[in-house]
Amino acid sequence: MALTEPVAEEAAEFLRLIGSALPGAYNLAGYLLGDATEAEDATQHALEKAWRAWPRIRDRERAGAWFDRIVANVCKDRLRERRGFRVLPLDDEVGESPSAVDPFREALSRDELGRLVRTLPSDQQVVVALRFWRDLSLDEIAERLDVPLGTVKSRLHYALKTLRRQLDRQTAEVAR
Amino acid sequence: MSTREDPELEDRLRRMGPGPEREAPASLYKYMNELARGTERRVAGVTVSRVRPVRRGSFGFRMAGAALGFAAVLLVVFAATGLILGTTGPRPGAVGPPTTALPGPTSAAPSPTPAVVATPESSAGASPAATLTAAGFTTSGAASAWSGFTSTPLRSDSPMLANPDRAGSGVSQVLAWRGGYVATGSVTVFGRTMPSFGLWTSPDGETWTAVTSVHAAAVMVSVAPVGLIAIGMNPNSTERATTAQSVWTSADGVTWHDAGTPNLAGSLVSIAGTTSGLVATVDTSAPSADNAARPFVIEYSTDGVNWASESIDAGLASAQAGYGLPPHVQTNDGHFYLMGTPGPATSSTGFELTASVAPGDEMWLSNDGKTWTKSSGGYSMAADFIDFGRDGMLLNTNSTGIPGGTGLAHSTDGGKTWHDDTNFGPLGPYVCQGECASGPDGAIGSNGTVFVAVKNGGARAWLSYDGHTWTSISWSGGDAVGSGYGESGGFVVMPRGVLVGGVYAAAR
Repeated sequence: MALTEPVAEEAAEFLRLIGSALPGAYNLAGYLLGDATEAEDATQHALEKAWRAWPRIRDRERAGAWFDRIVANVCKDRLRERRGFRVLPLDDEVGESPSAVDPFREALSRDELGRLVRTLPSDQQVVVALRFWRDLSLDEIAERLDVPLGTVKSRLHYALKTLRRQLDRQTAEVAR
Repeated sequence: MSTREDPELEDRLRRMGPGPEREAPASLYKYMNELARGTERRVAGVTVSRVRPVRRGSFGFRMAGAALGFAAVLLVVFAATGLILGTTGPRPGAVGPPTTALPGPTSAAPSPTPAVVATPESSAGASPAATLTAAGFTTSGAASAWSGFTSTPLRSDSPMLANPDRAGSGVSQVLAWRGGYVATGSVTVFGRTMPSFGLWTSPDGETWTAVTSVHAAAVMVSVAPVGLIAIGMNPNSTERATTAQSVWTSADGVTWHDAGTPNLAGSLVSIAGTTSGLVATVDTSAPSADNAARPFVIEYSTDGVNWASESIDAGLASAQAGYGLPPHVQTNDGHFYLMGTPGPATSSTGFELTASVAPGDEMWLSNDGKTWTKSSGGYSMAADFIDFGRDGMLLNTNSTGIPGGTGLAHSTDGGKTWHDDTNFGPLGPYVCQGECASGPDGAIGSNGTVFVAVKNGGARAWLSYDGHTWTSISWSGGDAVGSGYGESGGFVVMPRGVLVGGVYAAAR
């Protein structure tokens, strides 16, 4: 079966629409996973999923948001998998050359808050990343995650509440 | 719940954020292209084969099927998102490594209306000839007997506009080759650069196809002994001398091969070639060096990968530093034109050019890219770049007294001698009060065959083949002056029309 012109057009549209969303999606993955290499791997995985699903996508002008959702879901899966293993400290440079600074890890390690964000449930991490590191509105986040607006608000509320509580606890411990 | 339920914490989270968005690795774009254009892909369990030829290019520019299969869609992409083109050598102002930072403002979706598609009037009867000269730099059929223009405003967010806020936006380089056209540069879609779409080909100057196998944030293209060569750059912020560069070659304009990493002495500033060889001007300065301290070298290659420094005629003026233009090279009709200011010969680089300044700015001519003869000059300001026409050449010069000031000179003997044109052809000088930059009251450019002049504010245009004798032609539609030409500086004479500021004017 020959690849027909409409399919070729699909390919071109995929390159155009998903290509334009690629930097944002890669950055989302980077800040969720805190590791450039893993972000690249996750984004590649998301590309594969997106390409397979592409023929079924109708509203392609919103493909960027749709692709963000795929990336977020891939990252959430990876974050869940991590829970059964080790937690890599943000300042863990063991085995890396001094020049191989990971930009995402470096950004997240500038503040203790970065480490605390990574202790949140993955759903909350995604909302925090989209809200503060992608600078999206709550409505935009709801669209990207395909969840009700109330769910986004709820996840953000609990994320902030948890982070505040942990920060206050640390402050109190330092004061003692 | 308020979106600012904990302002201190939220601000702290934002400060941790990424700031400028990081570009996605080239490997991801490559993988995406492989997915979409692989030899096989599986959709709903059905294996489908590669795109097969739909039609064949008719102008000797062999556009094989895979590329043409995408043409219809990518034409819209191209038209809506812009392309990068120049005449026969990249203009210095447009070809330096673009900022790597992804564009600031996120623009709206591009216009669905193809802006660069010539009108039926312009395309009728304008079939390019398939003639290939020995130099391979003809623009046959690019323009002939244009009687006027019909302009169409571009959307304000069109990446075809040269907008400094959008990395790689705007049109800067067009190359005619074997009766077809090659366009280079990165493209902005939705405010994001699209490295995969940095190279375009067209058999007729109307329908454009992205070469998705070339991956780079910015691309320069040139004719070369092998056929065509594209050098892609992935600039790394201010680290000019460490810019990552890759070479792709093509014998037919359709299939491009990754030829590896060029051994250039630094960051590519300009490149031009013929069927016999390639010449490049290269910035060897250390990261974050300023203009006054930027050393440049001239290098020669036959394959685009292996480069050796050139020794240009020495014994010229000593190096000077200061405000100026990076040296650059252009070609036309098999001849090389090199502009810059000579510096002291060194044992390591052979010959070094510093940032161009006037007086002392020079032009050299060569037929082979290795033996150079100095032009007799005749222009009074620093040589910037040349516009080539069928019967003459126009040299755009640059004032060092007031940054931004420009002048014009014409030559009808192949660049051996020049004559200042203080009236800027039919345009006249721009009149301003007080200390301000001099320049034409409009814009002048060429597509290799014709020169076009467009007047500021008057919706008037002129045509010339030698840059000296001008014929008034009509201009209908929107006025170019209202399009932000002065701010964006965009003026490119395309194969089938002109891009001026915020409008595309199709020729008829």
